[in-house]
Amino acid sequence: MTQQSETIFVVDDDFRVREALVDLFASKNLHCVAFASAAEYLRLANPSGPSCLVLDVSLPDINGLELQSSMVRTDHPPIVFITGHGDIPSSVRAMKAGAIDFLTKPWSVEELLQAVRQALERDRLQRRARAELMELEGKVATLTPREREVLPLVASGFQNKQAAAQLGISEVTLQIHRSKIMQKMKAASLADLVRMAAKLEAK
Amino acid sequence: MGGVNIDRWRGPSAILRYGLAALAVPTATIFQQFGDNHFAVTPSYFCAVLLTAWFGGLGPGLFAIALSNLALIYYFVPPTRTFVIDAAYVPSLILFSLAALFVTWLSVRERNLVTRVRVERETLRDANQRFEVTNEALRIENLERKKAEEALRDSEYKLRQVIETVPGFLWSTAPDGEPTHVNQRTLDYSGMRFEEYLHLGWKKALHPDDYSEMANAFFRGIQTGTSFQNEHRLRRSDGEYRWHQALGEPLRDQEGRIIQWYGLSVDIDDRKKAEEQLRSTQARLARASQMAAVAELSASVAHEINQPLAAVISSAQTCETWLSGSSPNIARARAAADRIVRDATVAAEVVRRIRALFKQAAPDKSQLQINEVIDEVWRLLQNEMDRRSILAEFDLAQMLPPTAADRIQVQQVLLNLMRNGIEAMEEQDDPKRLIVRSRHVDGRVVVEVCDSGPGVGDTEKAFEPFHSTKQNGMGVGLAISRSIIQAHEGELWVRDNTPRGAIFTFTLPAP
Repeated sequence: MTQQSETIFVVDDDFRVREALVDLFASKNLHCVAFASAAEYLRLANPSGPSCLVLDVSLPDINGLELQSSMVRTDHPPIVFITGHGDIPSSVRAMKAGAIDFLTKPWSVEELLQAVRQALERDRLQRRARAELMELEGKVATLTPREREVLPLVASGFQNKQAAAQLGISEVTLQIHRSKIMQKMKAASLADLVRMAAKLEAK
Repeated sequence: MGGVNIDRWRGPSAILRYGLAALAVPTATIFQQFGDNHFAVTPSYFCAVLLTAWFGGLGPGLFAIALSNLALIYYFVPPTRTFVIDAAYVPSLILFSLAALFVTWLSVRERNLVTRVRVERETLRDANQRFEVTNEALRIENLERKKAEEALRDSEYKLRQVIETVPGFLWSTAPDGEPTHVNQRTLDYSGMRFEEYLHLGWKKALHPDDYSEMANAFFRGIQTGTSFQNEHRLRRSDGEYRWHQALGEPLRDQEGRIIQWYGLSVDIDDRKKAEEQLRSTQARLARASQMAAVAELSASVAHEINQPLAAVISSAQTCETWLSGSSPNIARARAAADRIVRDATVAAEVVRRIRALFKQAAPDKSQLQINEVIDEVWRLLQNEMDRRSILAEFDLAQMLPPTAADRIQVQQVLLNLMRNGIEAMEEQDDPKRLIVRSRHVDGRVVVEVCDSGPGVGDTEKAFEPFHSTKQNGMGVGLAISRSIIQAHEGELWVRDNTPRGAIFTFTLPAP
């Protein structure tokens, strides 16, 4: 996860715009890959590092906004929309669906660069969060079924006695489960464990 | 009755009457023979004379006297059996004759009286009879007249019912236009009395704006004797005005002289309002479709131009970046500069193509009356002008020759010019007057649209595409208008109006 592996994907059907953007980002030392259609992007783009998608609203195959909604369930890179003729409903829709910005051609280069940097930053954060989550999930996978039952009770602040009563086990047994969980989750303290549980729950 | 001819009533003929004398006198003689034979007593002869005079009249009476004298002389005056008379008996004979004459005179007089009475009675009876016949005839006639009158009253009543219940206003006027009848429905509607309609009083029933037009139609109809019609607003008693259509027809006698005018006014308010609504809808639709067209056009223009422009701006920035820093990358900067030239040329090409597009629409020419087109466009804009309280004035030349032009395109030009004028006066407080004139000058129809807005400033720049002084204007209206007029071999220009405003003028060839 270094600066070099950052990638900007440009999807625009106009080759002039693609050429200009690729060269613009190159001059700013940013790696950029351009596609002429949504299908091409979906087939070829493989964002491994932090990335950003500069997306034209009107595309030959599917509309940029439709592409955005089709990707909403996946971990797609943040989107900066560019359009030749921006209308308010489209921009509202794009922003509600989580777009970084909605720029109308001809845009100001500064605005575009700023939006792209913001998008890359957000993707970096998202990636980090996703990586952390994956690690946590890996740890949770090592827990026994009984331990998985105990974890939420402990994390939600129940006292040992209460938690044990709820599960119908003795307080001593519960304490054993708890220490096993702390161990497996590599939690430094109970507070640490609560934080982890919250992250898992938020997923 | 003095003129009645009594002779006619004398009864038996002269022979019979004289025959009576000839019969009566011998009969008297016979009776006398059977008597004491003394001639001095001559009652039988008196009877004969009397009888004859009574039934025969004066002539037979005298005849009977003469016969009686002869009979007396022959039979009774000695010497008897001869017509010789002894002088001693002459006085007796004269006495007899005088007495007989007196009897005859009396008898005839009485007879005449009786006859006259009879005659008069007859005449009277006759007259009476005639009178009775006449009377009977009169009675029958009277009866018939009564029946006819009743029937007339009945039909009049029915007619009146029809007049009063017919769903419209019925009225009649004398040949000079003075009202003679107005039906109850009209009076109920207007709340006026019939007398108030007289002497042009009906003016009060009309909307003040509609009076002059109605009066023109009405009096022109009356002067020329032709039926007329007019649409106007009539005042209801509560002060509301409703649109009515009035029709007037003359009733003529056999010689063709007008004896009455009959008129009918029908409420057309709902229809009129529906029409107006339709017109305003049409106007809105026209405006909306125009706006939609402009929006679409501007979207496509924006897209076409912004695309290369975005590339140009990016490339310019990139070029600058390549040139900056300690080790400028000249090759990549040059490549970026080349792209700028290429893409900017594309943008220019787009603009050129759009301008060409405006010129391409070839006019679909037909013979049209420019005044009609002006009227159509005015109708389209009427509501808008009302809303903005703009006063439209028309100074249109009559008898304009037709001009070969595309109606839709000329409408578009007029709509554009008039709307420009309307919008130019938007902000102004003084009376907003939009004047449209039409003229025929040197084989051309000339149309002027004058406003009192702020004027256009540069009179040539106004026609350049994408030049607009309006907030939301595309700046293509006048450019398109000029290209349309030029395609019709006409001209469109603008000059300043005095004291302020603009006059747009266009010409179309009209041989």
